[in-house]
Amino acid sequence: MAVSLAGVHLFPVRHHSPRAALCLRALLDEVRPALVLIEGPSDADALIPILSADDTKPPIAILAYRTDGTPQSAMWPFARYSPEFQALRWAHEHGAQARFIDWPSGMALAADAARAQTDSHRAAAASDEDTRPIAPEDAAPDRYRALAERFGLRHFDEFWDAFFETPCYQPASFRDALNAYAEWTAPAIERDAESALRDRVMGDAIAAAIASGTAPQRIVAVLGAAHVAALLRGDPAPQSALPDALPTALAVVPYSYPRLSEQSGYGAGNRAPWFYERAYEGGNDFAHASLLVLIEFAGNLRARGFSVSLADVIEAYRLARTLAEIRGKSAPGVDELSEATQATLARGEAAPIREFLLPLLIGRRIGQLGASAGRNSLQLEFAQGIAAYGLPQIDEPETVTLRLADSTQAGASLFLHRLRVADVPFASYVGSQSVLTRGRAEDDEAGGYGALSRVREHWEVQWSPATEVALAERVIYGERFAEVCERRLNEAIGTASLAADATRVLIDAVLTDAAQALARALDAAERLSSIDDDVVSLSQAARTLSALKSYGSSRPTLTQIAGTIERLLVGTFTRAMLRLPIACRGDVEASGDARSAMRTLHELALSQPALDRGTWMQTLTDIAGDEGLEATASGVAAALLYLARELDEADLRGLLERRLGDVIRPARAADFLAGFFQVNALVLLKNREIVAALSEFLQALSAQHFRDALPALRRAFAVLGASERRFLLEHLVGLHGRAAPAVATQVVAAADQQALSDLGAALGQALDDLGDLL
Amino acid sequence: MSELRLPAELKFAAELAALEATDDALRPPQWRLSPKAVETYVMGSARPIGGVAITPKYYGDRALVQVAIATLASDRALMLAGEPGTAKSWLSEHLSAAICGTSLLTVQGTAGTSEDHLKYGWNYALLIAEGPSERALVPSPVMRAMRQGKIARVEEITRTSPEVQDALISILSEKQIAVPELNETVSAQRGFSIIATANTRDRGVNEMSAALKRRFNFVTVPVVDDLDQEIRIVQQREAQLRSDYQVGAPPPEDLTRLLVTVFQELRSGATKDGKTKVRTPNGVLSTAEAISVLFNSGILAQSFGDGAVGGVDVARALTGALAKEGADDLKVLREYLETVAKTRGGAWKAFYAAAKQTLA
Ligand SMILES: Nc1ncnc2c1ncn2[C@@H]1O[C@H](COP(=O)(O)OP(=O)(O)OP(=O)(O)O)[C@@H](O)[C@H]1O
Ligand SMILES: [Mg+2]
Repeated sequence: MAVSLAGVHLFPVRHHSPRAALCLRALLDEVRPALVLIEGPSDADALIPILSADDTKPPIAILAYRTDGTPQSAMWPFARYSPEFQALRWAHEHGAQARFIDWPSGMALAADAARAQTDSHRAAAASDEDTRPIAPEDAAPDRYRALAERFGLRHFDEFWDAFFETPCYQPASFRDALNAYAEWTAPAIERDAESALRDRVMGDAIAAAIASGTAPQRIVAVLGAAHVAALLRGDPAPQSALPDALPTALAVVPYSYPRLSEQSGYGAGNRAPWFYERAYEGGNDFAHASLLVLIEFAGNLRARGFSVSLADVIEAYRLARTLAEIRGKSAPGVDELSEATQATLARGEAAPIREFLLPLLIGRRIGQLGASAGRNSLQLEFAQGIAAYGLPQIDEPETVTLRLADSTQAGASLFLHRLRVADVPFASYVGSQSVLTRGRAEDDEAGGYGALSRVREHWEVQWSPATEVALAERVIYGERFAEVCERRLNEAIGTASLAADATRVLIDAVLTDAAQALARALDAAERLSSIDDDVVSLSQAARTLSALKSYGSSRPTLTQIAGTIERLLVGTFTRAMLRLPIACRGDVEASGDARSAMRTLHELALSQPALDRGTWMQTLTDIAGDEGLEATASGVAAALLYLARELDEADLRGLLERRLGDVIRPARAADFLAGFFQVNALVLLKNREIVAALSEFLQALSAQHFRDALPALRRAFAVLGASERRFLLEHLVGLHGRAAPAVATQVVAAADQQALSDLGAALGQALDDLGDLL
Repeated sequence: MSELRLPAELKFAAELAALEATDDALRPPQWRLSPKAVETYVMGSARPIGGVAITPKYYGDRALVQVAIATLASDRALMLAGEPGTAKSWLSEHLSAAICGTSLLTVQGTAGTSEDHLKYGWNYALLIAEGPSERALVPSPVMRAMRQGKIARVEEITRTSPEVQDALISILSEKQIAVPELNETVSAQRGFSIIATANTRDRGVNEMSAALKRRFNFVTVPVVDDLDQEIRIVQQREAQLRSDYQVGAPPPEDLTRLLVTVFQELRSGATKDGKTKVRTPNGVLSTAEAISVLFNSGILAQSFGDGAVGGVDVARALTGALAKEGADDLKVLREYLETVAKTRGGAWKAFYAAAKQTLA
């Protein structure tokens, strides 16, 4: 093979290396080839005009995604200073032909998928991850670290900067240096089968170009350094066959510097794109780029209110250069720049470096596609939506607040909910409360039951290349977002097994205006709620249906089906109510679900006139009095009844006395108490009757029983806050007069202090807590 | 006893001489060694140089030391800031010894430090007898460093008064000290610089002014939080102290590990596995303190024990160190013993029992 390639200008590169890009351009100017062959998927040739168009602004990427329904994609990103990109630009500017010669994207994805299968820990990463197919170099990171350490450097990036980016090179010397480097990092004996296959594919492609008439001297081939080394060595052809190509589609999409900086594997490392771009533009003058960065960074600091003098900037620059010198480097790199800045402008603090300098070195640039780039219908609709609603398109999180009373902003909400349901990563729902508090209520979910009553929505918006990937891939679901949402909601209905699953889809269908999905979700809810035995699911479904009934009136889609919703609500609620006592059996943990369902249902019974309040209160009364049920659940029921004024004070005292009278099994009494306090301890403890019953119960316990009940008692009292404790103490004073503190201790610690102090550290601690409590 | 407290330039004279003899790299004006050789002196060398083994002085981040050296090479003043006991003074001493051959031009910062300590004072007997004269002038270490083109060290700068800090500003910006009584001005020779140390725990006592901060490059000396790394430091420094002072006994490996674990867990407020929270004491549990506790256990074992360092000795030395801050810290230790030490096996068993007894 080596013979047939004689005369071809093989130029080794590292992806995203400004030095490689610079040397390559010099070589191209010198050789003036007719044909430029580039490592990259060969089925992407059709995209070359878009990639190299004058109005295309990197960072951009070739995106390949599977069209067989399995979500998998890969990207080949290009920065302005990527040698591959400059090769394309050179060809475009000089009327030379450019072509990609690596195996096609379908094979790259197939190899990725196969690797993910054998390599289970990679599976997650490779399945949906939108990166350049894993470079073989990444498989042997130790070798790269060892190389850095051999020269007394901390990591590979530092090594690369010191040996390849900052020193001056001529094309020929750079080529020799990279070939030597490749021999060290990717020796023939370690060449994996996959890389070897690609060596052959690319070698064959070059040979074919010669065979079809281009003189080898007029060909420049731009390949990763390891591939060039393999071709120069003339490695024997691998035995294994090429993988079967998966069906794929390709597109050019915008990429971003923050994403590029995350790709800092050994193969495509690039930890500071904006810094590299600066250096590249100045002919790889890293000292000058450092100064530019420092000036900009000082400006940033000033804008944030720090005092920064020019003397500081100059000192930082001097220090960075001295450091580089001490380390035997020809110019400062990211490391020297960071360290010098920390010692000077940041006065020794690491935080400003991490938070301001590194993001600055990475940059925020997002690429742009030229006019010639075709867009699919979703990409167009997305762009229109962004423009119409004035949403930010930067690769950095930004908060957007929508007031839904305003029709434009309501439109934006519909747009964002559709993106959410279409699973296009762009906006995530933050909450309906003020952004300042940030405390999103637990149940305040994007598509939660509260969604219909919101007046405001906060979203965190961030465009990233993953957004573009999703836009390209989702087209298989439909040409418009509305269509995509219908399809995806239908899928969700298909997998729903509980009533709550179905009603959740109902809300999303309303939020995205998906009429067909709405009808189907309603059918599913009806079917599932009649067979569902899970009280949590039933209570959630009832809550969602109640919200739809209450807040649906403003939505035309819902007024037509109001009758169905009400019928469904009553049915679901009734079924939940009937199943509730059964769910209150078992132990404290098991009854947790039942308790939360109970509280949900209680709220509904109180607020929703369509529901049978009387039967509900009877159900609670039964649960509160039933000694066969889990005691915490009974306690919750009792407290709910009291707060709803279904029990008067005397009734409650009677109930408490009965439940707390169980001095033989005090742990059950304590559980009851715990449930009782869980509901609204403050209102309960404001009531003297309740405190009196409590005090009697505790005083009546024997030391032994007290000890047994202690863990449960601790649990019960743990929920009390400062004001609850104050009321408790006040009432105790009222009940027992001035001697209250003494009584209080007695109440809690019963009589036998001595016996208790022997109980060991854990129990003693518990006792202290209870002592503090009163 | 005096030779025990030898300054670095004397104690490591052989290393420095060997480095100087073999150093052919470029030296900044007045420097005794090139920056690279200073770095080698501080970080140590795997191979002997000029036939002399170069021992590591500072165990930690090489980049930090390089920044410190590069700062001094560009004749900018250096501020070493960090928690107590992180080897700030230690680094300052070794850097000045290696760069200018003396670490003795030192001003110790305290609340009582006055401007005279930074500039000059008078021999009052001579002053009264002869009036102001060169002979009666008592130059401060800073003034001497200026005249000789050497490095002056200002320790614990955060403890000094704002007036003293202001005086330092003018010294650093003008690089000269006026002596109006003699109608003359002492100007700094090339090679003059200052290494200051600042304790970040002192913040708020005398927070440095922005004007003063601007005169320095800052290097933050970190607390070591890697267990093995700190064990290595403590082991090696303890062994050095033992050989310097010719007292004590070598602690077994597992006890050193135990002690450093205790320090790191109390310092960070959680056990190494992150599962148990522990209270943190008020006292500073620095690496330096760990070294001294370990060294002290050796002395205790030798003087009061059977000569071999055991859990008892470590427990005693540790309680002694924590007792400095008062009863509260002992309570913290007691809690730690019950909640953490008690649950562990191996060397912890004897340590737990001994510590409990010591605390009783
Ligand atoms: N990383 C380390 N490498 C070498 N020695 C260390 C290290 N950390 C601490 N030490 C040792 O700790 C001891 C105390 O250090 P030093 O007095 O320099 O601390 P410091 O930072 O100046 O503390 P302070 O703020 O209390 O003045 C020295 O003997 C030093 O050798
Ligand atoms: Mg000190």
